[in-house]
Formats: sequence, structure tokens, C-alpha cells
Amino acid sequence: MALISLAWKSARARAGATILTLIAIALSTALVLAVEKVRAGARAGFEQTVSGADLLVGARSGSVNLLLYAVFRLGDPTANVSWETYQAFAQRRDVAWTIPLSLGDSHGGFRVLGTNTDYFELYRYGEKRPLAFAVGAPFDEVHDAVLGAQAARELGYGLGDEFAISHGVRSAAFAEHSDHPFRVAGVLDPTGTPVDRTIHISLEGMEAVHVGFAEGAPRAIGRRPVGAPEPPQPEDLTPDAITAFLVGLKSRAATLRYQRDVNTYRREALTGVIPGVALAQLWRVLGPAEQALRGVSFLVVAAGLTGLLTTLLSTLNERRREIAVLRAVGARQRDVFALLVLESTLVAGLGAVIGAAALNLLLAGFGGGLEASIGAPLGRLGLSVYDACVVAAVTGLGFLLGFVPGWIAYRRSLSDGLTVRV
Amino acid sequence: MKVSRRVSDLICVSAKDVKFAWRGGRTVLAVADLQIDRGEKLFLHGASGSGKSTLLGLIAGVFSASAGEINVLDHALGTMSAAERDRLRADALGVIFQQFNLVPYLTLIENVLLPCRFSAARAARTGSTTKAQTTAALELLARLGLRGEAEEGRPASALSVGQQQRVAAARALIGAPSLIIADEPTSALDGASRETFIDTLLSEAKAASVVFVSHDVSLASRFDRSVSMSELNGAFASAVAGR
Repeated sequence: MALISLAWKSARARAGATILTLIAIALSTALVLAVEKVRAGARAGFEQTVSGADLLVGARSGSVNLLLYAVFRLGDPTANVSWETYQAFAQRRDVAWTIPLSLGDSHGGFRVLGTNTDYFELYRYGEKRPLAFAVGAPFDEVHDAVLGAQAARELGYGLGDEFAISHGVRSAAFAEHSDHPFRVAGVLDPTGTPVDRTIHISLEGMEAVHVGFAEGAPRAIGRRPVGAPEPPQPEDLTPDAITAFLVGLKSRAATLRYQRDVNTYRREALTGVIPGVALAQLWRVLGPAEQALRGVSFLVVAAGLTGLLTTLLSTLNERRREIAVLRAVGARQRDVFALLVLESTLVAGLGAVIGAAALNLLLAGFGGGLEASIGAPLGRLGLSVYDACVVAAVTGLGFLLGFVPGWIAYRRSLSDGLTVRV
Repeated sequence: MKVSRRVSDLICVSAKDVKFAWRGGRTVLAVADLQIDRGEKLFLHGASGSGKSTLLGLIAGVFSASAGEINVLDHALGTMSAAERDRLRADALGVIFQQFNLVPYLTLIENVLLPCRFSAARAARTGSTTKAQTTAALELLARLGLRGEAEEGRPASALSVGQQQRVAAARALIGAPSLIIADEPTSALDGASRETFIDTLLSEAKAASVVFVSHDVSLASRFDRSVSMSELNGAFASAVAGR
């Protein structure tokens, strides 16, 4: 007890150096915890990019590949799912709902997704959150479009604005479907998922764009004889195929059977994946980056603790006198050792607690805003076991580091005896 | 009267054929025979390098002798562990240095009460409660002319050298130790305060033995006995002769 109060008063007497060391340790502890919370939040957000759907079905490919193009709108599908097959699987008795997804076009670098209005009612992300409209409503007309939050913001489009979409991903003027301008019917709230970067149109709208586009390029003007009639507007805009579809089943228990039926479907080569499982798989691909981030934050803690060691070692010389005094009044050598270990532990522990407390207060205060902007659920990550472990680990390392100055002072007090060295 | 008591009760420190050398080094201290009685005020005279600091370290139990026997207050230091010697020092010894006696981040009272933190016996002799101990420390400081400074709670570093030495004396005296070791405590003081310091120290020490080291022979007259390090330390004498 006597030693703890001595160690505390000694640390307080060197307030300047002690406070700087405390700040360094608090900051580095907060960084480790912040990295972990962002990581966990990003992971949770990522794995819930799509939630609520039991299965994602597309043409035969790897599950990660299917996920990348159908959910993240990255890359191109290798093949499509025919409308008949989609209907066959959508009308099974164990199916509660389906959402068709048809990819292909883009506008201004944002992917265009053909779907139906069920999408806006049934699509779920995060903790089973539905999509919400910032303005407008789901599409009504063939040439209506609903923009994700980021797409609307970056393109600068508002309700009623018109735009053309181009074939393929790259925006190329020559391939724009300028015959079919789309009109913005609604803009969604931010979700922190790929939905934000998506332009939604109806399947019929997408089909209309591609009528007369079967060869993959617009007909050259020269090839249409002057005076020939305009290409006909077919009445039936039902697509021949879609890219993929999401399935919600009446009973979760039916998922595996449904998946097996999809994977063994004879008329068409299909792949069905459980979104959560495939997302977790994809996240593991990002594992090394995650570990690197963690590693860097641990290095910052090491730097903070090195600062603590440096401070303690630099005070050893001025402490030589006070240690001689303590020895003279009966302090044992091990008391001298303990004094330095205690001070090191106290400063490291206090720094770690301050860092953890400050971070959690900040998250409590601003976590909600952060959550909306990065789409990761941070707000609900309060004090955790991980926080306690990091604080304990930093304190423990402070304890161990104290052995260095402690041992030096121990050795010195042996040779100094009762002499006060100046 | 004295005959009826055991001889050891009368002796505070005894050293026989004591030698001390740093590991692998030459012998820096060789004391054939030194005895300090209980209550005796001994003046130890010696220049720097005469081995006096080593001798004080041996008596205080901070060093252990390479050869020979040292007894302090009926304890054979050679048979004790370092921690046991530390305990004996905390319980029964008071030490005053030449300078830098105080822990700068403690108040005067806390500095004076430091030995009580390391020795329950010393604390009990000072006062039964923390409050009583504080009062005792304050009274002692008051007798040494530092009442005002102690009550103001000034940091130790704000005191003059003379005042610091008086606080150090109070710390050495608190809790009635049996032996007070003072290593050149007055060399940083001027003539008048030097005399006052010694008078106060000796009168407050009362029944305790005092070993007072100084190179200033003029102070010797105030003590019961005076011993010269050059005569006491055989190693020093031979080293000087060999030069």
C-alpha cells in the first residue's frame, strides 16, 4: 500500500512526462479498439449485405463469383437463367417470394439492375432492414428508374430527371440507348450496401432497351433503308432471361432441399448459394488485409509502450537520490524494484482505461452518424470483452516493461549503498 | 549495576576483523576492532576515500562484509538475509546524508514519516494512529524550527539546504531509533548553523547512539569519543603507505 501511494506520487511529480505517456498509451489503446470495432462492424455489415433471403440462385459458377456479380454488381455474369427456369423455381409451393435480378447495363459508372417492385418491399439488408425511399416511389412506368443514394448524389439526379443508359459497364457514347431515356421516379435512403450504387429499373424497362439490340450493337443507320418503318415496339416485354434471383422460403428448414434441387436441376446448369454463407466466404478472402490492419494497430500500441519505457528509463538517474533515501529508511531492494514496476503498471493501466473509455464515449456520442456514413453497425458495439482484454493486455505489458527499469534500479541500489550519487 | 546486565545490552555496534572488497577488487576497508556503546556519540573523522561511506554501509546493513563479524544491536549481520538487514535498518536506524535527503514529491511530514512506512515497529513507537504519527512528526519538526514550513505543506524542494538537513534529522530521529548514522550532514551548512544542527541532533538523539562522520575535526569536541578513519581502516593506511 505504501509503495502504491509512493509510485503514484512519483508519477504525479513528473506530471508532464507522465501525462504525455498516458496520452500516447490512451491513443494507441483507443486505436486498437477502434480498429477492432470498425473491423467487426464492417464484417457484420458485409455479411448482412443481403439478409432475409434464404437463397441466391444464378447460372452455374462459383458461389463467390455469383455473389460478386449478383449482389456487389462486380464483374459480369457468365450466363443467364432462363425465364422459364426462374418461373419453375419461383412457383414452387415452398417459396414465399422471389426477387429477379437482371444485370448488364450501366449509367455514369453505376450498374443498372432490372428487377420488379417486390425488390423494394422484400429486399433486406443489415438486421433485416427494408429499403426506404428518401423521395419518390417504386417504378410505375416502363421507363421509370429508382436510384441508390450514392448514385443519385454523384450523378446529381433528382426526381423527374431523365437520362440514357449505355450497354455494358463502360460509359461509351456510341452505345448509349438514347432512344430510351429513363426518368427518376425515386431515390433510396443510404444503406451502406451496393444498393446505394445501383440504378434500379423494371425488367420491362430493361427489355425495352434491348429490343432491336439482339446483336449487341445498335443497327448502323446505313443498314436501315430510308423510308423503312421504325422497329416495332413489341407488346410483350417479358424478358427471355434474368441474371439471378433471390428466394425467400416459407420455412427456413427447406433451404437445403431447395438448394439441392437448384444445384441438380437438369435443364439448366444452376448454382444456389446461401447468401450469409457465401458472404462469410468472401470476407475470408479479405482476411489478410484485416490482419494487416490489426497488426499495424498493435504496432502503435508497442510504440506507446516503448514511450513509457523511455520515460521511465530517462527518470532513473534523477531517481537515484530518492532511491538511496528510500533504501536508507528501510526499503528493501525488492521494494525499489516493485516501485518502478508499479509505476509502469499504473501509467499503462490508467492510459489503457482512459483510451477505452474515451473511444466508447465517442462511439456512444457519434457512433450513429458514423454508422450511417460507412454502413457498418458500430453504435451497438459498446464495451465488450475484447475491450477488457486489450486494457488488461496493455496493463500487463506495462507491468512486464517495468521490469527493465526495475531491474536496473535494483542492481544500482546494490552498488550505491547509502551513498547519494549526484 | 552495569555488571548485572549482559555485555551485549551495552553495545550498539561491534566490528571484528571486518574486511570489505568489491567483487574481484582490492580490499577497501579493513577494521580490526570497533565498538560503539549504546547511547555513545561517536565522531568519525576521515577524508573522502578513507572508507567511511563503506563502513557506514556495512553498519547499516546495505553492504555485507567480505570477512569478519559485525554486530548491530545484538544482531549478527553476517547471518542475516538482505531483507532482514533492511528490516533492522527500518526498525532501529536513522540515516542522514550530506545532501539530497528528501524525496522531492513528498511533503515535509511525509518525508519525516517515511521510515514508518517501512517499519511497523517504528510506526508504533511514533504513534498509535496515523493522526498521532502526523502530530509527532509535526512536533519534532517544530522543535527543529520548521513548524511554519511543515504546516504550509511546502514541497521539500522549496526549502534551503539547512532546512532540508533539519528535515532529514527529523526523519532519522522519528520513532526513537537506537542508532543514528550521519554522513557529513553539516558539510553543506555554514559555521553557525553547523553548530546548531549538531546540538539539536545530539539533544534529540537522547539515548540513541550516534555515528557522526565529518572531515571537520573542529566538531569533534562535541562528541563522547573521536575516531580517525585513517587509524581505523587498515586497508586505507596500507594503501596510503604503499603510494
